[in-house]
Amino acid sequence: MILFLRQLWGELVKMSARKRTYVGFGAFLGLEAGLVWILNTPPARRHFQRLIESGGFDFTDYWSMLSLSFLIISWTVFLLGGIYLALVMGDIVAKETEEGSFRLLMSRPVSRLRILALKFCAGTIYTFALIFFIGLTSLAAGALNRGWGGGMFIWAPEQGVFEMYPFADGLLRYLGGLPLLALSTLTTASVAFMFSCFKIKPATAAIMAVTVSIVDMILLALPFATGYKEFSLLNHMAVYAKFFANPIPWAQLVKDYTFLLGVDATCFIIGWLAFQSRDFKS
Amino acid sequence: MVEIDAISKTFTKERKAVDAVSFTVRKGEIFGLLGHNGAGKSTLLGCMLGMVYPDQGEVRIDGISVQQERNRALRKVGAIFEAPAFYDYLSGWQNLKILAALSGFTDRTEISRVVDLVNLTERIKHPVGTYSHGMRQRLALAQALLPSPEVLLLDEPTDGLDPEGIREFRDFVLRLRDERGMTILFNSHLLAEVELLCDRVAIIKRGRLLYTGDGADLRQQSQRFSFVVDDWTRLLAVAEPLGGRPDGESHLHLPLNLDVAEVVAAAVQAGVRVREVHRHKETLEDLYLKVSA
Repeated sequence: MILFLRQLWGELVKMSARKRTYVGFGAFLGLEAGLVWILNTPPARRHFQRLIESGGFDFTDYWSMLSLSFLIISWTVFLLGGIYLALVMGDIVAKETEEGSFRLLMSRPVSRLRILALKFCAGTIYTFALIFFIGLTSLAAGALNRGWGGGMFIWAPEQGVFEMYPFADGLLRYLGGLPLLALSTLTTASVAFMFSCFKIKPATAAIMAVTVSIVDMILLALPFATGYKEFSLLNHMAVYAKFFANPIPWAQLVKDYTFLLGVDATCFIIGWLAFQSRDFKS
Repeated sequence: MVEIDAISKTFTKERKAVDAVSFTVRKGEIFGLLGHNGAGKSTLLGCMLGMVYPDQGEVRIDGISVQQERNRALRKVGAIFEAPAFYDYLSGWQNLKILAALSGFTDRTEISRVVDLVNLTERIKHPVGTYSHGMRQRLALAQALLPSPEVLLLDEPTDGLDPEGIREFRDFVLRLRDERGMTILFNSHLLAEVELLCDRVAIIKRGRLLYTGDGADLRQQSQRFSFVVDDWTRLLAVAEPLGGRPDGESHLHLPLNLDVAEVVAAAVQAGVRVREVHRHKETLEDLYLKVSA
């Protein structure tokens, strides 16, 4: 176990030393700043004012740091998170194969399964780190814009969530939801990881992973494809918002996250089988 | 120490990359694997490291099958590839630590010792991206030596090195064999290097093994001399009845039991003016061309 952790540390060192790892973090900050600006435009404010006041609540109390943070994190992850994780995870195996550094790894007495397990674990840690980064910076953006405190207003129409919370409860829900959001986005990362294990270019792996997400989104939006909803990754990933419902539908959350973890495991196994059957020649 | 047993591999339907190749590398010897680009050397090396799955056959290292127990077999093996791709954005030290950890090895003292051995101490904390080709090869050697292998597999290790670097590398490899008794398989298309380093060679062409041995058996089939004479036709008329065989317009192959002095004496007696006679030492290149023709 200690050896595995040491090897994992090496994998994390490799990952964190790449410029691409950080460039994305900067892009997320930029997007968050843009969203703060958009949410403060008069049309956006009017829209949310109508929503909050339709529930019989005071707009000035609930148009607060936590409400903004929730909107920022949701849109940031939806707009950029998937693409960015697909890029990083699409690279994780395919890039090393392309560059040739995989030959050095594979000349060591270590199994292919272990190498992939190390990479998948590193990718998982990275996904969680990225989501926590987005979560905390969104929180900071909300606090800088609206000041510390205030109630939390949650509106997720697709998940049927419309709730108001006092500050302390809202903050707990917001922070508690971050691991769940990370778990949701891990599925996008897993799909990209799977493609990365095939004999394809890193960019192709990333494009294929993004394509899966886009096709999934389109199918989910088709009014006549209602039966597809049950299989849609995006639909299951969006269950994160249900953590903000009152009371929390734990059974639903467990069901959806079990489905997603099953998809993650399947992606890993398919990737491993593809990788295991490959010849690596200079 | 390394047994290649009837290895075959096909990547495309048109032709086999390696076709039933068998040979053995003995413990403590430097063995050269010779062949032009695309001959199948790297495929064979891939099979030895379990990176390429052979269609048939098996590689055994110290009796352990790479195909059946890869991890156990490779514990005794270090490998260097042509143009090794390190993580350029990490330091040499970080690269070594990551690679050594994959072999279950994390002793910093031993890593430092190997870094000293390959003469990289001063630059080891610098990013590999700033290294020269020679330094990258030394780093490659360092990673192959962690942790203390008994067998070294070298794939075109001197490619791209300057003459000084090549000599340094050669001396180092010889020292490894002499001081540590390492078994070394040297995969190259540079005949001169193989000739200077290797105890025995295998020659492969289009995936097929054409020759294995130290070359002496082929070299000893005849002796070759170059002659500078005033009348080549008259020299041939004298030499051929004695068993000489012409090779071009100035060389003669003579049977091993024929003394060149007899040919010279006969030529002088026949009135041929013999100005110079040189014995031509057959090189590995001659051997390679002869075998692969």
